[in-house]
Amino acid sequence: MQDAQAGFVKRVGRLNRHQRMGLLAFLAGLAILFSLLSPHFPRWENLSNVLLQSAVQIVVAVGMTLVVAARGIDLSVGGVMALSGIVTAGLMKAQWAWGLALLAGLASGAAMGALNGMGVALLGIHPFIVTLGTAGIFRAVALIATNARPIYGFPLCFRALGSGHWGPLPSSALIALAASGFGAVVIAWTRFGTNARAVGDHPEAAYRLGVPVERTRIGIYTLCSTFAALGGIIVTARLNTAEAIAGMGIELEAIAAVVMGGTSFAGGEASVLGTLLGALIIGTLANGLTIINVPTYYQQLVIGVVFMAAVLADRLRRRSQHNDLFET
Amino acid sequence: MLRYEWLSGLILLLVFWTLSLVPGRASAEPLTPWEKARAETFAKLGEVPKPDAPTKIGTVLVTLSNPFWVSMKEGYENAAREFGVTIDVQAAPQENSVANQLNILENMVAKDYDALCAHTITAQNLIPAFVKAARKGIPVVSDNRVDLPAAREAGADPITLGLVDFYGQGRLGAEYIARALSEQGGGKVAIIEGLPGAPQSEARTRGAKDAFAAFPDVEMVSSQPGNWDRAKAFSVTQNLIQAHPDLAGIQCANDIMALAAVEAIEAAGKSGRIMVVGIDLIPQGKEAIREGRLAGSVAFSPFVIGETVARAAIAAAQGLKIPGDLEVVSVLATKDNIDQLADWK
Repeated sequence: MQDAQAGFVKRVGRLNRHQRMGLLAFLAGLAILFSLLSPHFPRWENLSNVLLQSAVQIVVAVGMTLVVAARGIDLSVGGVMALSGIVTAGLMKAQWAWGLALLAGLASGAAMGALNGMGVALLGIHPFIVTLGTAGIFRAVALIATNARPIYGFPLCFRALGSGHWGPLPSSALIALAASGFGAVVIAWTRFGTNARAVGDHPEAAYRLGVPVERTRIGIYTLCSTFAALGGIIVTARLNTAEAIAGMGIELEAIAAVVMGGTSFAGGEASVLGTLLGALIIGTLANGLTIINVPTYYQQLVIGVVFMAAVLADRLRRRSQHNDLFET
Repeated sequence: MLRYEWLSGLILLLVFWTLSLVPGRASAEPLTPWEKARAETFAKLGEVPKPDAPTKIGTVLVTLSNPFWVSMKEGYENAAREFGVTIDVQAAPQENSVANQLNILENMVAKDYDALCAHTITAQNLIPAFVKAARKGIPVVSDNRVDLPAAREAGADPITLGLVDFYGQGRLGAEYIARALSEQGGGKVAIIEGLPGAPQSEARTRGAKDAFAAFPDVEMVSSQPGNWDRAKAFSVTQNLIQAHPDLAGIQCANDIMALAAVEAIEAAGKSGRIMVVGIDLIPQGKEAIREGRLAGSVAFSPFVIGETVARAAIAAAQGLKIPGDLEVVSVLATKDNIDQLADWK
């Protein structure tokens, strides 16, 4: 049994190094291009902005990577962001210590994730459908709880999470990096992570090998939503506002980062580093295009085109290795 | 001899035609309301000298998907031409893209503009960027929607121009509806707000509520958010008509929503029975007023606001003081005066 599982670890979960090098090269190329187009881009002040502005996307995308590795998807991350931000904010307004409020916010995210996981694992409904439903429910609860009005005005220590600095690095970037590291360790080196990848690769084989499929699924969705809650807290801290419309569209941005990072939706493998690079590429594009004064609607066009190009490159790479992107 | 008469007639015609091409006013034509409002507003700001050194100004608007802001952008571009400065104008993708707008302004702060202009979506969302600008010594000109105490507490010091009396606008529009209904014995009215929590939405709603409250025979049955969004305002109006079949008037917090309300009313077959008043006087609104579909719109020129804030920024970049209580003039546009407002932008 142990040998079979060990074999699993080796076979599953090592994404092609070349692919990640390719992403790194593309990111570097973008940075060089923007630096040539504007002297304002390569300054530390601006690069620090890129990290600051990508932090939330990175955190949510890492959570998404874990779920995708388990052959799932989570469309409710936006609603989770909004609701957990509101929970944290509401508790701080009720005079809770910000640290406790933060933990409560993360716990609320975990609870929402557990709901998603139970829908998928115990009710057997496809994750796309479960999380589409819960996306609406969480967002609606957020709107009802706040009557659509934002909650604002939080203690300085809390706000430092979103807009403060630790030395030269923005705090939110540090949180994002720490979260990425944590996610990478979980998916690659813990039994739970291995189980998740096994479930993603071949649920039936995993079941026969003794992997607790249902528990693993619930666990991975719980983890993903906890990441989303962390993202919601960072946004709340940065804007000094918790509102029900926070995180709209974040699920697509997160999925874009995951796909660009090379993690396959067929499940079984995960590259947190790839997702990190994907999110940084998108963040660099948004920042660089603003620096060279391209209007926002063109930015969306460029990001869309780059995304398609990355997907194409990934597909060509896989095909050259005789793998199909959506093998069943 | 006839030939010479034709010739002299032709020459006379040519002479008159050439004279008519001479630019400038041959006689004292009265200023249009727009030109008057513009001149009054600039007079309040005072003389702004043209800068000697090349000056770069950065501006972040709300969104270019609303013609109101497009008009403001044109105002900025006009000021840029007049004063010979460079003004980069950016906007967020949507009316509620708070994080995006903050990102844009932060990126602009990193570009070392001589001054920045910011039209904030909510009272708080741009404060982190204001703080960064303050640290670099870049003057920021914004309007009174910004939560100034919170900004100062965080370490920022934006110059907030009074610019627009939002409360007064809500009041002006609602009073027009209330007065008209009161003359006919009263009736039921409703309010469609903007984005909840956004300062101009809150102020306009308060103004409208106060105006309606002042007329005892006018009953306000509902006040709902429309989020500055066409689709949302359309469905809200449909629901209002269903719930209150004898609804007689709706005050909307902007023209986009007012026009959607008008569409919903027409779709329900109730055109002409519900008075709708908007705010902003976008080009589509002007058309609708002329056609009699929209009862009125509170007009304040986004073009002039753009020019005014640009001028204030140019002054600030040169280190000059700017009067903080500067307000642009608002005018209620209705069928009666819409012809004089043809050039309002």
